[in-house]
Amino acid sequence: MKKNFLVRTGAAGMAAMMLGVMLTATPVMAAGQTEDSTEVVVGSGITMYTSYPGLTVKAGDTATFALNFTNATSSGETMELSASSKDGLEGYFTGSSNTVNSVYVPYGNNQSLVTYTVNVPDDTQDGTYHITLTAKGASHTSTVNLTLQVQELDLGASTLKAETDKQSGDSSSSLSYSLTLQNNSLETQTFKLSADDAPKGWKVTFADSNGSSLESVDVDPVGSTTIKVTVTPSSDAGAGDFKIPVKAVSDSENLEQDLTATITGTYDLGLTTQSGTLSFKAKANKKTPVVLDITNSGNDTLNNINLTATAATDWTVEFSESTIDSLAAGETREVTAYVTPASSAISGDYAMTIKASADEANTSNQFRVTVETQTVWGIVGIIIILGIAAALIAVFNKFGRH
Amino acid sequence: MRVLYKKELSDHLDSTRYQILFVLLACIMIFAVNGAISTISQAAQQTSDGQTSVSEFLFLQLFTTSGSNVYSFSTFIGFLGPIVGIMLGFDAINEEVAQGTLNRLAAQPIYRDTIINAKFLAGLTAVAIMIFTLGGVMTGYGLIRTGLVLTGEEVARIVMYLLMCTLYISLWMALAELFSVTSRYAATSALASIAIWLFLTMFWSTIVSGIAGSIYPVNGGGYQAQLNAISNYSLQTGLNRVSPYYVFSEITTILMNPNVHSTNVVSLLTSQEGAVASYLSFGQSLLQIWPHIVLMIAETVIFFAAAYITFMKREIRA
Repeated sequence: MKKNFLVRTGAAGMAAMMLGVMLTATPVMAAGQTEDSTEVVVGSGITMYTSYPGLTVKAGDTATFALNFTNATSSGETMELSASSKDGLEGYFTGSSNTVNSVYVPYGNNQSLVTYTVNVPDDTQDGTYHITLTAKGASHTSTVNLTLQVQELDLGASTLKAETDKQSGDSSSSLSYSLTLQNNSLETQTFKLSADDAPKGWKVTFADSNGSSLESVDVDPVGSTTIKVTVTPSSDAGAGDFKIPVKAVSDSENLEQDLTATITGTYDLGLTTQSGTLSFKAKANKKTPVVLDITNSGNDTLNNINLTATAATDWTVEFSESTIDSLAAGETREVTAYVTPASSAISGDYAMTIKASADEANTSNQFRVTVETQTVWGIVGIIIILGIAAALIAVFNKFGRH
Repeated sequence: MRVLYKKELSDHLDSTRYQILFVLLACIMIFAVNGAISTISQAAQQTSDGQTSVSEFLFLQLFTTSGSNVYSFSTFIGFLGPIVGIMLGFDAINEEVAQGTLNRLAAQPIYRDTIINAKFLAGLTAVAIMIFTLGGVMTGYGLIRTGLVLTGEEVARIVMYLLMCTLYISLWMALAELFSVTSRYAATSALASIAIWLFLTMFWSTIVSGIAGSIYPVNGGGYQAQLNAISNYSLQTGLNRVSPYYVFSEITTILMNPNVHSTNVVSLLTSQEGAVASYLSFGQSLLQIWPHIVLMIAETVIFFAAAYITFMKREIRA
């Protein structure tokens, strides 16, 4: 009913202006207006409104309101825009990326013609704030009341948090952590990063997200930064969990986050002769003692170390201690291997493999055994030669006729 | 004795026979070394092409490597060394008898054994002079031609090898002197010596393989033949060692090729497992051939002692 009335009023106005001859055309015009009726606005005059006049924001945030205008008059109108707030909140109007102070409102519905932006200061207290926006034209005035519900920022203690505070690896690998340092104060703070209480021999380095190393880091007010922490365990670190307290210290704040490094056990056996050489001399069919050093070079105890030897046929290899029950990390045990080359072994070098296998690890080393002919036969030869010489002298004496 | 020794030695060195032998061996030496050098340099070129590996003891191969159409120095010594020994010893005593000078010598105020001792020692010295001169010249020539640097161990091995050459030739000289004492005519002793030399050097190995083959037949295959193979080989080796030629060749192999670990092929085969190719030290090589050396010394001494006893028991008549 209302719509029809409006259309009819518009049609009547136009008819009045056109007079006489145009009268016959009036029903046609009226029909045309009726077809456009979806564009036709409700109410009278010019109305400014926004879809969500009440917003909840955090201090420091920016609140934006899209302002729509409805012009129900027959012609467009330029309107002055202004805002007032008794709480001191200030904002500005923008349209087409420009800051504006007036807007031309053409006939019809105009969605998001102007945007009103309010910067809520960081120090804004909690509470409800009111802003009144006014659009004032030559003949119409429209106002919108905005309500801002401000929740104050959680100011105070800054935080240092790890996304993952546990990493694991063996003692030869380095572990990476990612820390987020949140500055919850209103000033830029410089945090000095340190991990002085890390276990001895460990290395802890800090880097920014680009990987360049850091000693200290500046964090914007109410801002945060990501710090990469690389932890290099000492090479002799045993298996287990290690705590690495990381500290970020600024003039006013002292933050700490514990990182946990789980070092997995590494098992490594070393096997060599006491002199470090992998060769020794032996005589055929003669027991030769060779002192071997068996070293646990891993970081965990090795259990049940068995010594075995692979040598040529008829060679025998015995160990003073063929099984070592357990060997603590870093310890060395002396074991004597008694190598007896085969009686048929001839002079020259032979290869022999000694293997040490623990439950956790094993190692083997090839030894080069230089077999030497026993000099006893050389001595026998000399005795024979001496005997021959003696016999010759005897011949000389007997037949010499001196 | 010293006077006689000097006289005998100067007789040797002045004799046309000695000089001819010397020149002959020198020529042989030059040919052999040149042949060895061409072979070795070919091998070395192949090595630089990455084909074969060259021994660490390259220089020693100058003595043992044969050229494309000439025997190696060591082969020549093995064959012709006995000739030198026989030539120097076959007429030691019977020539004096034939010329009637032995009576006059025996009439001098000297012990009779001085005569044979001086002759043997003079022969030994002449051989040593010849061998070491040739060996030294050969080493020097090889150094100049190849540009190789001698290591101490190579020098030791070469010196030992030349000593063994001297001993080998002396053995044959002692044998020839024994015949020169026992046989009346120089021709007889020469022929006898040469017969033995030919027999042991040329035919003995054939005879030995025949004997071994008849005792441990390896023909026809089968299990028994395989079992026999080792016994056959051992017997052959054992019998072959009767010949000084064979013993000397084994000495040469061990001394001049440190890569050879044993003269006993059977033990080489059985202990091959686990063995690593390696060079024996000089002392170890020496230990391997020590029985051979003792054998050669013993044979020399026995031949000489036999000649000595025969000579002393003989009547020297005018």
